[in-house]
Amino acid sequence: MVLGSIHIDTALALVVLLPLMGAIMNGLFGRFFSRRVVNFFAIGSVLVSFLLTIGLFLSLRSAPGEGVHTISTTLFTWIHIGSLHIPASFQMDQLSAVMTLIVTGVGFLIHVYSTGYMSDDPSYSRYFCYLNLFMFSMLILVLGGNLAVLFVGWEGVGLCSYLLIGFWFSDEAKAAAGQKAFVTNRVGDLGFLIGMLMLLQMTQGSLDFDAIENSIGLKQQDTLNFVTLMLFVGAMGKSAQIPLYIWLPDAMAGPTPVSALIHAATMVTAGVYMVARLSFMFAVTPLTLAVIAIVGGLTAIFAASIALTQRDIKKVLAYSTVSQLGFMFLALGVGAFSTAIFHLTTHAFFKACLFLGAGAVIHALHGEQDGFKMGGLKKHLPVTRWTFLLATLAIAGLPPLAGFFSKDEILWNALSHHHVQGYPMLQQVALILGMVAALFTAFYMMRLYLLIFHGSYRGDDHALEHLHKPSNGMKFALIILGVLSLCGGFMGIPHGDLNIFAAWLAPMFSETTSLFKRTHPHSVEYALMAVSTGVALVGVGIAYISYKDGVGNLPKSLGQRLPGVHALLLQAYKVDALLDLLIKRPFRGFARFCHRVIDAILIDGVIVTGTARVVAGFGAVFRRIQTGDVQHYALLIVLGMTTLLYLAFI
Amino acid sequence: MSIPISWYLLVAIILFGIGILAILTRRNVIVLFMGIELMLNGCNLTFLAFSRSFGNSVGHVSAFLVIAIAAAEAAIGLAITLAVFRHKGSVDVNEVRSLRG
Repeated sequence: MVLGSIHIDTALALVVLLPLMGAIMNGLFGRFFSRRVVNFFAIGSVLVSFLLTIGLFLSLRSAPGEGVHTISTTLFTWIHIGSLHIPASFQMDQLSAVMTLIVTGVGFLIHVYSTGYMSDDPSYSRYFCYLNLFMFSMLILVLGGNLAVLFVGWEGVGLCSYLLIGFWFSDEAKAAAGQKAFVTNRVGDLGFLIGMLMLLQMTQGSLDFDAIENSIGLKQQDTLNFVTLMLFVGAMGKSAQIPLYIWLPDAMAGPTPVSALIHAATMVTAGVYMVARLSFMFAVTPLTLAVIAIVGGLTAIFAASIALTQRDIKKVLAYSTVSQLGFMFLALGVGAFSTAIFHLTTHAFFKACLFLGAGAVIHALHGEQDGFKMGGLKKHLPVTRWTFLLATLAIAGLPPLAGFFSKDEILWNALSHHHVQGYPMLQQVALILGMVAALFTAFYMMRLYLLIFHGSYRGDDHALEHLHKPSNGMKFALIILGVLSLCGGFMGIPHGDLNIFAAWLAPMFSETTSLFKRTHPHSVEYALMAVSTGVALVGVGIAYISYKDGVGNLPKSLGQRLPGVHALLLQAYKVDALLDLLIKRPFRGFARFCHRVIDAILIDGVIVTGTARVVAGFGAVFRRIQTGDVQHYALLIVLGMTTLLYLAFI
Repeated sequence: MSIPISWYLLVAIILFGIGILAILTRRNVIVLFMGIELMLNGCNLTFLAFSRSFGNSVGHVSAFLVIAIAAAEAAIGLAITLAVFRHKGSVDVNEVRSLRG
């Protein structure tokens, strides 16, 4: 046994519980600790968790035989009422092992980075308490042994996301961004909950993945379609797909490492993970898969087009994340589940690297986020520059970097991986959406890189003179993630034995393979690779010509010639204004109505004061009976008694 | 020849009625008490009449009970009356209206 004396089930429980312990220590006693002690609990717990995950991963890998290998442990019985039985159990198999490695690995790097980034913040221990709590929730999510436990993690990460977006809550806009994220997620969660409760009814009281899998054969196609669509609504909320993506760009109000960890690498991929986890069910509902593919493709292209014109560097990265998540859903929608997880993995590397790089730039310039006020920073921040460049080329999809392999595999599957009951034209539409989004991605990422690091400095000289150099911890995280962006893709080289990533995940999705067919020979894949590389080069090239010395003539003249389009993109298609008109204002109006009419008039006036008035009115009448004269009372008693006797006997 | 039960009952009703009239019409608390005593004794008389007519002693027991309670009631009532008199200087029930709503 790799883990030596620790029992393997205990190790699995510890992976989840250690970050909780870190959160509790820093949450309760953090204010009395020095930074060193806070770091010890926060980073130490995540590091040990990561090392234990590696141990578990190795023991899974060395497990004999083919098929799904599972390590599982049950902490206690959570709910047991009648036939409803839900244990608080964790399980690690090939899929959750990948997710756990990403979560703890990238999480660890971002914790290390945060020690530098947050070093001046007065709420240092609160930050790490939330961050550890997030790790705990996320690990529950990916390691949950049944859908109910997964949902606990699902809600937990939502809470931590809210707490961390609104981390600087004294700024009202940031607190509002946190609320927006939370409320939007609630909309999705409602769908998830409906889907989950319907599953509960299907399985007669169990939410174990096996029980769900066994029950799907018994159900009608309509029910399954509805359940999977509802679950996908949940995924839309968490993973920021149209129309529930609106919270993610605003979520950039949080500290940048949080954006890297929660809103790029891990939490937002929860929806992708959930769909992959329930792939056996999604695979038998081609309708839902088509919806997923189209929503994913549209999100990819829509968000990428907004990213083309944004000035705020974090906004560019936020829309880029939405777009990349769209790519993952595109892959899920065509049934390429392991490809989606592969892209999730490489995306975690390069997008975390990009966010941390952007964070280093923002940190260096004392909070400046406008890309148009940067430039020429390559001399001053060499480590940040090189890692940012690597990650940029990786996300643009240039060989042989990480993003190339995963993005190419998605496009290839979009073209050729087909559900046996698929819809016509779906493949072509998916491929075109993906290709155009890839072109946009290459352009806006190169533009971002050039705006920050090339040309001449356009900002405030004062900031440049007092440049904050990144700390060693920040450099450490950047370099590791840069290297992973460079070589992370080699575990998914297409074809045969070289694709160790797909081979590792294959047992997870083995039951779905018979439902899909390949429509093109593999030779087409090489042609597609060449095309997509060409597309990426075109995007990068245009960006280079336009932005190599600040904002060039081409984008300027384009902006002047098409002012309407430019303004529309810059304001993100005015979706926020539309939401304001369609949802916020009616809701505010309704709330005002409730306040002024229902609350003030109906409840306060009629029910509360009204009841009191009625009682007082009756009292005013009946008090006249109480004259205080004993003889009146006696007379009434006599009259009453006489009446009673009269009624009784006559 | 024994007196029929209806005569006893008639006397009892008359006693009871006088008592009620005394309570409803007189103002002096002491007289009110007398009225109450009359009503109680009217009741006692009915108990005893029925007891005798049915030939068992349940009515006697009830009558003793009523006498005992009447004694207690008179004691408490007179004590209250005394207290009211000390407070108000009068035993007229029309003067005592502090429970008026």
